[in-house]
Amino acid sequence: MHNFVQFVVGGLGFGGIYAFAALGLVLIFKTSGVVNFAFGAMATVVTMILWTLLNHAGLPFAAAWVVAMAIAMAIGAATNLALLQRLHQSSPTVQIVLTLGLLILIEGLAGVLWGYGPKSLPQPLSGTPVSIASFLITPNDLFIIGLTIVIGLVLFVVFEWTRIGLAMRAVAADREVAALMGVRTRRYVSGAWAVGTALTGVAAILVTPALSLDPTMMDQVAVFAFAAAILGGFGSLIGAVVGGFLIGVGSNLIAAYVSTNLQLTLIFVVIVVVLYLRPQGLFGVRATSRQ
Amino acid sequence: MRQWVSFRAVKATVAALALAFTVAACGQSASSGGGGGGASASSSSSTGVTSTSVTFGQTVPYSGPAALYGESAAGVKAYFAMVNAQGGVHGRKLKLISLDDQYLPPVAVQQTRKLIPQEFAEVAVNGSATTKAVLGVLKPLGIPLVGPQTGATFLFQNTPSILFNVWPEYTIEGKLLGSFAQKLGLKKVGVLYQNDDFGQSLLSGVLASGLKPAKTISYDPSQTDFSPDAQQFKSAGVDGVIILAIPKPTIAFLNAMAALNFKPVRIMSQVSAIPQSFSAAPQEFPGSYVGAFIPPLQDTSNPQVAQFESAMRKYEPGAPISVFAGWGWTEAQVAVAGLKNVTGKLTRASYIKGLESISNLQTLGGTVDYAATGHVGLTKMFIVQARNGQLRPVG
Repeated sequence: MHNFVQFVVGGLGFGGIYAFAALGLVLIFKTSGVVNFAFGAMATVVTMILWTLLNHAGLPFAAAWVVAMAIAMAIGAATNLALLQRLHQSSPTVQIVLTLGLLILIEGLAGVLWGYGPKSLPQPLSGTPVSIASFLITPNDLFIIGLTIVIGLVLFVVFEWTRIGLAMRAVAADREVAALMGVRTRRYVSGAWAVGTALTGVAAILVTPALSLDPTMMDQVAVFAFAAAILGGFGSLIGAVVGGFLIGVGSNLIAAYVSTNLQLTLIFVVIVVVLYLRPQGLFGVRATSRQ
Repeated sequence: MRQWVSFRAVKATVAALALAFTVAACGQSASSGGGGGGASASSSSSTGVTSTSVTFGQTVPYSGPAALYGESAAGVKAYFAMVNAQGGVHGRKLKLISLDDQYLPPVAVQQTRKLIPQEFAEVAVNGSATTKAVLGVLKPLGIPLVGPQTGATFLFQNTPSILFNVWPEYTIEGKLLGSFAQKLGLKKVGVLYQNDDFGQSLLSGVLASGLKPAKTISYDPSQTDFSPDAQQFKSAGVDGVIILAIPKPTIAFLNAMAALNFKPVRIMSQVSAIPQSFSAAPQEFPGSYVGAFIPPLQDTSNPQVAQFESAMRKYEPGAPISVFAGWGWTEAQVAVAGLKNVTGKLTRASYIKGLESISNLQTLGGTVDYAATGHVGLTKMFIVQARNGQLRPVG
């Protein structure tokens, strides 16, 4: 039993990272209707920028974070304004192909600019693992879990209970009608891209100390984040957070009790079963339409 | 209106994809002494040979997950440049065309097809799966391959006549790591291995050493979270782990062990011994024991090391003087020794004979003796330890 709980605790750190990345993905989808397949690569570039600020510009850690987040928001907004905004009336297929193209483009550019050798970043909170009720967890994992829950709740409150959130939901429901009602749609969609890119950037920065930074670092993390978003309902911010933690813990348990080689396979088997029983995901709202 | 929007959308998508592939292709061609060429597979017994030059080709990863191994090409280039400065081989200067395979077998095949109309032979092709794919192209055309950078077991079974191994078979390294764990007196040893040709070959060597692992876990190369693996080893109470993995998973696994405050003795394959491991796994990499055939590079009293380092500084001044460059250098030493042995007309058949007559050749990585061993290259490895930012002799 002790082992089982330790496996659960061990999965929460990575779960938080998947949740963060899924939050960025869902926020952009909720507002603009675009599934951004390039989100992992964009996040990697943000991390590379942070690495450069720390190692070449000599900025302190906190200042480098702030600058990297500002650049992440600029990258997100610029991607929307330069590319996606122009295609918002196109079919989802075209938009998906565009973001897939962006994924290849950004990974290639990152390789040319920063090289492919693994790089490292320090943890936001370093220190040896602490024991909570005899279960070990690192201060950094505790930081990730806490930050994920707080940011998830803040986004939920903003989206559901503020005028900004109302406007974003209106844009998501029907961009033309929202515009006619006086909502500055371009501003809100770009804002969602900016915040969404910053969130996935945070996920990449948080995962780097556990892995190693190179242009393809986020490829596999992005797959798990997609799984988290799907499990949570792909439109629900709370669903993304819960989905992230479920995927993190679930994949740990599969690795421990079944096989590490079957982690991804079994995660998707669970998702298929969940979607079969509950097509809107765990936290999604059932969509109905009149024919 | 709708049609116009769709057309614009398609145009933008095509433009984005075209740009993407252009950028991806930017990193693909890293050639020395030429490049390009068509996709034609035309090749004769003396393709790549002129009265003044011999052209070798190779595919290595300059991009993708194993891009660090691309550093090995600098070792080949430095050795070729040194030989050229001494007048070449039988009056011919050596050329190398080095193309990026991204560590992907289909890309390796595509790039090899580009090399065929220009190259005489191949040297220092990197990777197990990529070498397997490249051999499929080279074998029917009779193009020799000297020194693939892998010790996968399949290369040592029914070895084709065109293939000359330089690396020791992975089972030799596996046996060494397993024996070393026993020599250290470890009571319970765990083994983490990559679930493919590379990891399985090493594992079979570990088991052949007589070691009985307390816990064996395989992983998929794309795995990111290694905390369950670390936890399982910790729960099994192992006091040593043998890591048979490529660099990125090794770093992630070492960090996962640190997160559990779990510090067993670490023994790992030479493919993980990259300089970046010192910074990317800062708590766990130092102290690790690593298999090696390239001697510690700070030991300049070794004349092979001194020559290698001086040539690297002179001819490849921007490239790291690393174990990877040492691999390329060693393989180039063997390829050139084969050329020197050719008497009369240089054809692929005479080159293969020249290689087969290599006897007691001293290289940076050890002794190669094809005359005695067939197409088996190095057979000796030793253990080094990661200390003070370098790999140092044990002891």
